[in-house]
Amino acid sequence: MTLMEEEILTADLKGHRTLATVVFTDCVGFSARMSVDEEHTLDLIRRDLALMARTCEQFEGRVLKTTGDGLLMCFSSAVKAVECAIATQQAIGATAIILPPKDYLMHRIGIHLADMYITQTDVMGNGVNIAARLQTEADPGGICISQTVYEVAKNGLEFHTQYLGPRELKNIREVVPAYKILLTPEDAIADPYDEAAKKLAQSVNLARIKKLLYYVCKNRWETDTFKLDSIHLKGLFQEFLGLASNVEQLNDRLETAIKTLSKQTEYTLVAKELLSEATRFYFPTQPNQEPAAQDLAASDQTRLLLPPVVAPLQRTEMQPTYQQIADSIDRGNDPVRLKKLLFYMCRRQWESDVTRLSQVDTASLVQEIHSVTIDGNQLCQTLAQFVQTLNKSAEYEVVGNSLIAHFLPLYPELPAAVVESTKTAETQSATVNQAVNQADNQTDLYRDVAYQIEQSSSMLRLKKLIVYVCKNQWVSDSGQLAGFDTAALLKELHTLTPTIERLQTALDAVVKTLSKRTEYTLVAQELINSLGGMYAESSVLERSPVQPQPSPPTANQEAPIPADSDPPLKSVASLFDVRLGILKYTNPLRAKILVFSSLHSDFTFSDEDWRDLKTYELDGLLRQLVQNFQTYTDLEAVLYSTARRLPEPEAGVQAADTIIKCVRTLYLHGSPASILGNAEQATRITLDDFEESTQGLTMPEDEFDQTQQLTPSLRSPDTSEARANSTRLLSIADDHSAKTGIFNAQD
Amino acid sequence: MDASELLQRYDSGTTDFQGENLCGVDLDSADLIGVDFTGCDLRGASFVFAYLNRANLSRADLSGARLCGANLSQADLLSTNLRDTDLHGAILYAADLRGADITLANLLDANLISADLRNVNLSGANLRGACLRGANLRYEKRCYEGANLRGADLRNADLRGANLTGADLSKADLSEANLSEASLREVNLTGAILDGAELKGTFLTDAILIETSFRQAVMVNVKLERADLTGSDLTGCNLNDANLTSAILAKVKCTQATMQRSRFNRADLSRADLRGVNLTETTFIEAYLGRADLRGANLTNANLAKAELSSANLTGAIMRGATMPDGSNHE
Repeated sequence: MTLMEEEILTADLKGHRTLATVVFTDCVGFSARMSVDEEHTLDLIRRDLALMARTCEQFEGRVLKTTGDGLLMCFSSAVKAVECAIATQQAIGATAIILPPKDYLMHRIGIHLADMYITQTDVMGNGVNIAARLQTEADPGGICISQTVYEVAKNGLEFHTQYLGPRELKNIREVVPAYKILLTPEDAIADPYDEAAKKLAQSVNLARIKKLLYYVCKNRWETDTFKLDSIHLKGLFQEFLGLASNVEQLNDRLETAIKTLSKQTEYTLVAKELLSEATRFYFPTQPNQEPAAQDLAASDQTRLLLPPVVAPLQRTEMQPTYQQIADSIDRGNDPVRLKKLLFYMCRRQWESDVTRLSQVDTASLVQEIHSVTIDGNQLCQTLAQFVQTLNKSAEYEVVGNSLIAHFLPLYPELPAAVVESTKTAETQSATVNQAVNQADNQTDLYRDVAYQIEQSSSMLRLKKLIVYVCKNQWVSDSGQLAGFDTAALLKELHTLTPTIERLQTALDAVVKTLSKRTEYTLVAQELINSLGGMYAESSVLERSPVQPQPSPPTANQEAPIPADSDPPLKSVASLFDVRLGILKYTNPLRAKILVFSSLHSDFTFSDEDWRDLKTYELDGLLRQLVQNFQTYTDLEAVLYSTARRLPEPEAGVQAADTIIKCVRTLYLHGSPASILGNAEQATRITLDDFEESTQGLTMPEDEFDQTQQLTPSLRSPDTSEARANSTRLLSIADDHSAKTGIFNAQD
Repeated sequence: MDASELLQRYDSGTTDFQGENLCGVDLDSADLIGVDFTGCDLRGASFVFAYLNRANLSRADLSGARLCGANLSQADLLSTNLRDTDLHGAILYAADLRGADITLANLLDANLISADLRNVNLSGANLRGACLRGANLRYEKRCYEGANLRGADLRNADLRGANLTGADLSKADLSEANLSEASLREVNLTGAILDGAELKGTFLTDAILIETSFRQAVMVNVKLERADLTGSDLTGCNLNDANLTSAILAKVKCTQATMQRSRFNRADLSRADLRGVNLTETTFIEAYLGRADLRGANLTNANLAKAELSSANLTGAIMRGATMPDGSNHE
């Protein structure tokens, strides 16, 4: 039923507006767990959801619907809602202590109170979206509530909270002040930064502390009290700590800053206060590294993803193994990079400071990894996902592979072959061919290629694209994606597109409809590269197993995508952005003359040449250019040499420069990350990537989606229809706003 | 005055050449930044690769002149005569061309980004591959008439975000052009060709699209409220999430199109050819589907409440989960 119908037809189902408290639960890492063991995880979630439903009833709430891995509950009392959430988390927490890690799930809970629109089975409105977003702010096994809920519930209920400050929630216009409910007293000091921030916040000099911190971090003196109030002290403090790798450096920074101020004495006191807080985060430098690292590991214990109850147990048992792996990593080929990657996986933050990195105990990192990854496959997957987010993903892929090799003692089920092949993953296409030769039959072939794809750093995107072509549906939920068997998908793809040209055409058509077109053009290229083996084989076999599918039926005779018209030309889907860049930064005519001269004969400025040039469009010339010069270096050499030959070489070289810069994106066949190559962003994960890599949950894109998302959209069951459409395709918008400008990418 | 004298005077600091007769002058590659040629006779002059940034060419006669590759960014070209002028690859970035006569001019691959083109006459002009991003061609009541682009060649042109409200684009060729996010409210596109064009999120409300060709166009999320699409060809086009409320779609050809989640409320779809169209989750509330051909169409979960369906041909249509005109649910 569409929303529209409901509104118009069924006045009785229309529901009504009411003030209600909405509780939104969500399972942590559900998709990831599902991908490892579907059956078992389903049993677990059923158990937990049943428990939640029971608790909800107990507290006079109403379960409105299930989201698959969570519940949407509604309460008329905010106090009851909070009580229910606490009871739920405590009940689940209690069972978790007894059970082995594979037998329990953790949940996040978000609560919000607002005027909403309630029907029998659903609830809609901005308030629901806020609750859903608040849920993401909660810790695993924790609860996050909005200020409104807090105000209402605080008097009726005994509970400890920690103010998280005003949170900017995705797609929510206003900032929502949020509170975390502290379920156990020790949670209160779980985060040393919080503790420090709290202490600082209680200081009489708070305003000055903020001013000084702000000055040191942002290099700007802020006196506006309103702005100062809105500063998130913890974040600022963390940023401050990030400025230096030891206390001395920090002290220097503060001193130089204070020297420029007028109230030096006052601020020296403030600086002292700050330093005394900061000292706890640093350890006496170098000489006594061993115990220090040990300490840090211990304090880090609280930040583990697993509840501390389980960790010590594993720790004692496995300690020698961890140490052994840590040693092998530290003595390995590239210990710094290995450790950076390890650190990134554990803390989700990139540490490039070698000193600070060396203070972290490798063994404890190894342990952390082991405690969150259930088996070797998951390790490979998580690793691949993290590597994807990096700037130098190609390099780190190699690092990641050697990391996996180090982890062999922990995951004996990782067959040596896996490690072997991941080691040589750089020469991917070569391995594909090799694999092809070894394959006994077609099925093995698919499986091998599937394996290659799954090992790729852009696995998710590759799979999304395959699913889109085969199923005519854009799936961005990695859990759902994992539900598709790659080998089966490949088989379907192969049946749909019996020749590599067809595949190319189909992919081009699909990519055209996506908003992240540049990225997916590359992904498509990678796909074609890795599927090369599959097609090479089938031509040897005279395509016996596949039913040659007639080329996708297009309207009438004048098919706009002639399947056989030179595919490389077609592979460059749209050049609007490339052209825009050229037009903007150089003389369009000069660019045309240059490209024309590079492709044909030198432009002589004769009437004949002018007339000739008018028959060409810049678009066509560029396509031909890209087609003629397959490598970036060729292109560069030709354009520059032509520019120098022509009259007014300076202007020509400038044009060549611009063209090369603009066309460059088309040559980047590396990982998509390198296109986005915004040096600043690449090492940081955006929320989206983060969600993707950790929870495997795609968050709803806009507010309307929020309620729709809960019922997964059904795929059109009419497969023949779907197939007919598979090349032209319905556009289902890719997640984000489109078009990352080319110039943006070059910075 | 000849070219050398002009350049000499310009070098010595004179920029004011208003009303001079400079017929056929050759000023290729000349640097004439900020020059004032208001009302000059520049017929047949040559300005190839010349720098005319911020020049004032208002009311000048440049008919038949050669301005290919010339840089006219931020120049004033108010009511300039640019008939049959060669502006191949010229830079007209943010130029003011209000009221200019640009009929039959050659603007191949020209840069018209952010240009002010209100009230211009571009009929029959060649704008292939030109970039008109953010250009303003809109109609303004009592000030500017809509731009005249009748029969203009806009193939492969980049019109993203351009404002063409009220423009006359009848018989224009916009094949493969990019019109995403452009505003084409109330435009006249009668008999125009938009084959393979990209129209994502384009505003075409109240537009006249009689017998327009949209074959294989990508029209996702396009706004077509109250537009008149009588007899248009929408073969193979992608109209997912489009809004066609109160649009007239009489006699349109839509075979092979997909229109998932589109809205056709109160639209007139009489005699429309919708064979085999994917219409899942569409709404047709109060739509008129007299003699519409819906054979083999996929109407899964569509809402046809209060639609007039009595004379429509629904042979072989998939109606699973659809809401029928009487409000009942099709089983």
